[in-house]
Amino acid sequence: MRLELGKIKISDLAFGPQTKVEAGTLYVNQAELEALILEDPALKSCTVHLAKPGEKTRIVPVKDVVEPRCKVSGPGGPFPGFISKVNPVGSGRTHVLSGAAVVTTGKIVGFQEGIIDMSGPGADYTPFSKTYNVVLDIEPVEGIEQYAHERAVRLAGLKTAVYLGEAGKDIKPDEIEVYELDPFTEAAAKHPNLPKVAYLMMLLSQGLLHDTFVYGVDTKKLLPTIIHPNELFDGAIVSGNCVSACDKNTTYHHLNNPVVKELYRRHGQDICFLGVVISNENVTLEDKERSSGYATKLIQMLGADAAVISEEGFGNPDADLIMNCERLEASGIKTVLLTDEYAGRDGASQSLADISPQADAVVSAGNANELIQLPPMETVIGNLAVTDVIAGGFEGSKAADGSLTVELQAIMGATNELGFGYVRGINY
Amino acid sequence: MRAKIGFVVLTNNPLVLRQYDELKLVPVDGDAEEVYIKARNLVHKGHRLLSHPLSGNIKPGLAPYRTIVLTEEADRTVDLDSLNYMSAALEAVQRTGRRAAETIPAAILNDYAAVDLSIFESALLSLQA
Repeated sequence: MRLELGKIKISDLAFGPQTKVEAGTLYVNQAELEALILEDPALKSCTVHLAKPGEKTRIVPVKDVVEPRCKVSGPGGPFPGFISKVNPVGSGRTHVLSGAAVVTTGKIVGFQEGIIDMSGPGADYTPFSKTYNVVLDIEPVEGIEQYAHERAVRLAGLKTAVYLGEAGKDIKPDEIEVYELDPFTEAAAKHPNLPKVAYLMMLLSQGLLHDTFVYGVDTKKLLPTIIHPNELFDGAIVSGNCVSACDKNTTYHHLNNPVVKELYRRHGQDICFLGVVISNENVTLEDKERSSGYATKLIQMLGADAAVISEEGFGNPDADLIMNCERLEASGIKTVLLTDEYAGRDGASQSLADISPQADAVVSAGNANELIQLPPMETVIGNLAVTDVIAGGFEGSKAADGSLTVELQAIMGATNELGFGYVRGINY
Repeated sequence: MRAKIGFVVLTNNPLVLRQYDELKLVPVDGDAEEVYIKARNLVHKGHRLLSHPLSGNIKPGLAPYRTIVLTEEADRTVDLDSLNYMSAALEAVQRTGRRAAETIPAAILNDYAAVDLSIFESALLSLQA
């Protein structure tokens, strides 16, 4: 399967009479976009804001971040199962408005979270302070249930990403990245002397605000399955996850999975990349055992010598992570784990809720409990009141001047467990 | 054939108590830590955990409601996996600092209850499959 990702670099953002890309600037027709979003009868109001790197702007509470993309050639379309039909994606050509992002905000539950500061110390912790953000501040109709509300905001984000992405359809990309991976039997035959590596990607799947979707399917109903890495680049995996801002994978993360990119980069050099297995993180222990057993079996069937495992979230997913690690190691498959830590504010406590001697190669994306002070911002998009109750905030975390003391946990993508961030934990 | 496992539902969540009174509920009058302590005591008596005690991605000390599913029948021996999961969960609750439910506005309490209910229902779907 071969996919060309045509990257159109976005270096400025403005409202304009027509949504278009011109000389690196993304122009957005505000009224047209707001009307498109309000076609959904579940939504009462939507205000589109623009937020650029360096501005004194805070966006909170952020639900999801999505990158604008459009399909130029090849089967299927972006976000299959939601925006496009469910045809397999991942081949042909896709254009990306690289450097732009759609950010959805709006209070779904009262303890929601997710801060993006476009400047100041908080900006150093989130990749979304460097993107040109089209922010959707969305209010639902009265009396809507949380599930329907989450879904409506999720769809608004995807719709907007496709609407903006279409503006790049006929633009000549600044750069074209090519991703091509042979069927795993052929890949293994081509590189007989290289270690064969699979990627086991764990997805949060537990209920309201804790869900992930693959081709529109709720992943808690999924047996682990094989997915071609290119499918991720076309939006086959969509986030419905709104808790734990620091280590949830937004849809943007899925579209830009750095583990996949690094495995591709090293394919044929020092490793042979076989493919991706996705697994879930369910609530019952039997589901966890079933999924880890099944994922291990699939990775064995691929013929892997080693596997990279990335976790999503914290707490009970630590049990899935360790089960996956132990089962793979017991089958003779070496593992490297990607996670983050909840090691207390001083970093002295045990980092994970589950451990194992087999987990002897672990990459840490940082300590989510670390405290950070965020100065007040001139503009707040969304609702600052929620920072009192967000996961990383605590009572009294908001000072009278609007400054915040929060744990890194409150910042979007701060300790992302795909390594898409700026923080890491090291032993010394 | 694999027999269906009988289960009990330990909870302090008013929504679970109200909506699932046909199940074998063990109501807990207290905070989330109280639910963890009661669950650990049942594990000591030989019940096995069916749901992971740290369900959800909300910091355990901050979530006022918790629902944990255990086997209805006690085994003659203590299940060590269950015991380890309970110890780690209790440690996590005590470490993350607690927030008394009475300091949380009613609308937000209801949101917490709705999320815990949803996570419990996803366990229930699996247990009743």
